[in-house]
Amino acid sequence: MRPVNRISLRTLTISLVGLLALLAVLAQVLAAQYFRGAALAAQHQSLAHIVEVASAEVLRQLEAQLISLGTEFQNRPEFKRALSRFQREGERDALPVALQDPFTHGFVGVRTTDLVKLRIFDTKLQFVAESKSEIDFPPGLPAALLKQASNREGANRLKAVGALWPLEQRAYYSVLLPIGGLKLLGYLEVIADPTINLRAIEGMTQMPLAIYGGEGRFLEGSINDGNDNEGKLPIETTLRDSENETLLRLVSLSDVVQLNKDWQQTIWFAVIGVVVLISLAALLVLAILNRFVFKPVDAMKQEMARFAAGDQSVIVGTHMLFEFAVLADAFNAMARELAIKIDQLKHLSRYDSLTALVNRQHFDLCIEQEWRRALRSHEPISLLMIDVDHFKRYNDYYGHVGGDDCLRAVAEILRQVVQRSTDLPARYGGEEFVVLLPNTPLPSAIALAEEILAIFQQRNLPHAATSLGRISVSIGVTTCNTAEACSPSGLVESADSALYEAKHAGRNRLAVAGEHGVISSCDDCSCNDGKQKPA
Amino acid sequence: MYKRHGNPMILFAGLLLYTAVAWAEKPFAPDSVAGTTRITAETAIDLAGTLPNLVIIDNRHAEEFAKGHIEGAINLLDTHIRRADVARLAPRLDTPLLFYCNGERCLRSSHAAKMAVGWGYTRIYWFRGGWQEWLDKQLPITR
Repeated sequence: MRPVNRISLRTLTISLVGLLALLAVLAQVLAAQYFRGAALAAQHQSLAHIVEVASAEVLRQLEAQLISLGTEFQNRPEFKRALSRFQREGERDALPVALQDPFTHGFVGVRTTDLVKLRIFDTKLQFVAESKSEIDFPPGLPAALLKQASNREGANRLKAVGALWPLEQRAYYSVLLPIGGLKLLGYLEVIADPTINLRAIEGMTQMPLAIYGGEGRFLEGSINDGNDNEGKLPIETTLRDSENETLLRLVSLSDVVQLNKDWQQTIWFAVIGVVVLISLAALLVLAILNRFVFKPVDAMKQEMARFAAGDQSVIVGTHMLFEFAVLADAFNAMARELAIKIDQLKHLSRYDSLTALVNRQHFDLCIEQEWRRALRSHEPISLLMIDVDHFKRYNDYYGHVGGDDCLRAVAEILRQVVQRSTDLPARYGGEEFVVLLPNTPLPSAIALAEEILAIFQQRNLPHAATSLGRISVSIGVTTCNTAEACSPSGLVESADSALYEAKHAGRNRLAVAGEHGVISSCDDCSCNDGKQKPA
Repeated sequence: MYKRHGNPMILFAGLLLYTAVAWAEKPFAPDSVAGTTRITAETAIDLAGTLPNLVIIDNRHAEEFAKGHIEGAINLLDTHIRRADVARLAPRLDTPLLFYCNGERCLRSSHAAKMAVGWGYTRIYWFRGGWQEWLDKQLPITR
């Protein structure tokens, strides 16, 4: 009966709670992932800013070093001599030699400055002389420096200027200082490669660093792109000129192993926390549902099952939840209605509507039951079969309505005669009636039959179509003393034979089975379900 | 009728407060010195270019002077300065004089300039920004 392909409320609820828990854990993992991204982005941003500030500071220090170096250089006697010769005689040959001197004999700050070239320009920024170098520098000031140095007036022409500028995928830092103290004689350009200085960022930031020039050319550094950078976050900073052209690209690697570790720990904590919390919440929800839904539903289910099994006394309990109370009330109302209907149907199925006596079908059940009882208790069982004499004539004479009245009158008399609750009068069919008498020996059955005949005589109910002038009955009496020796059908047959005897003998009398050759040793019968006498 | 006494506690507290404020406030050079013209670094360079007889006097300590100074400056610490020294450099009272020291937190050049005003010099230029301003503007240094 229980459908296996249906899902119970409990299973559904547990599945839904489980699904929600899974979704919550998933959401937690996604959130953790998102926050990790955010943490990495924040770390990247702050570290990039640090590298940017560090590189600006490195270049500022480099500029100060180059100014100091240029000032120092101008105090060298050979330079002073070469310069004054050039001033006096226009003789430039000594100048390149003097400019080459620091590269040959060294200079202050040689360790921290990668000096590349020294160049002399006149007051109009036209090239005069330069030191030798491996790289060919284009003649004239680099554009970035020229932009700052030209179009200056008065005292501003004496101010030193510096700039980072590109050449063949590298970048150089140049400082332009005035020559000649307060009386401007020309300019000295000091050119250095800033790469060695920028390497210092590695120490300042405690992160390995790589420096790339234009078009991604690797210049300097302790890391290479594409190497094993597991657990490292690359921080990229670019140094640009005033035209926003990228001159140098600095890539630092930040160690994010700890961050990843923290992140994993956070995820575990979060997931465990969520699982614990959701489990507790689920337990609470299930406990509440169990108390308010599952148990009431189970109780209702059982009560309804009892009702379905035929127990009409069942009243479904109303529980705390309003909806269930409504359901239970509705069910109870329906059950009451149904019980009444069932009673009515039972009554209709058991009783004859005309005479209100038990009908043939129910009598057959009763006689079967009583016979079995007699079988167990070894008691005698008797049966009277009663037939209205000349009933067809009565019908013809008084009409069918009159016939019905006659049958009701007979039934009334039978009910009156039968005193014991165990005795069962019934309408056997047409104008035939039976009275089942459990635990009754033959003499008592005969006595009852005689009493019936006496009452008919006493009542004197008119029957104009007979010579007697009143309604009379013929009665066949039979008794079964040992139930083993007969059967319910045998009992009826025996009573019927006796009835035939009575009719044959002239009606308005009784005949006992077994007398006059009627064989009947049925000895025991009565339908005793306590409902023989209808209201 | 009544003799008024100052509350000694209030007086003491006031004294403490005064000391604290004096301690915190490092002295600034005055905004101007009467009888002098206050100038910037650029004006100083222009003057050096246009006035051949300009005498530039550096009022800082000798060690500071040795590390770098304006070209052509003469080192005279303000506390050691004597009229005779200045007179040797600038025999005429209309000789232009330029005084500078470390900067706006330094009182030496204003002190020296005031003394020169007192001695009757008429063309005195006071470079209040001093050496700090010179370095900030990345101007040429002589050693």
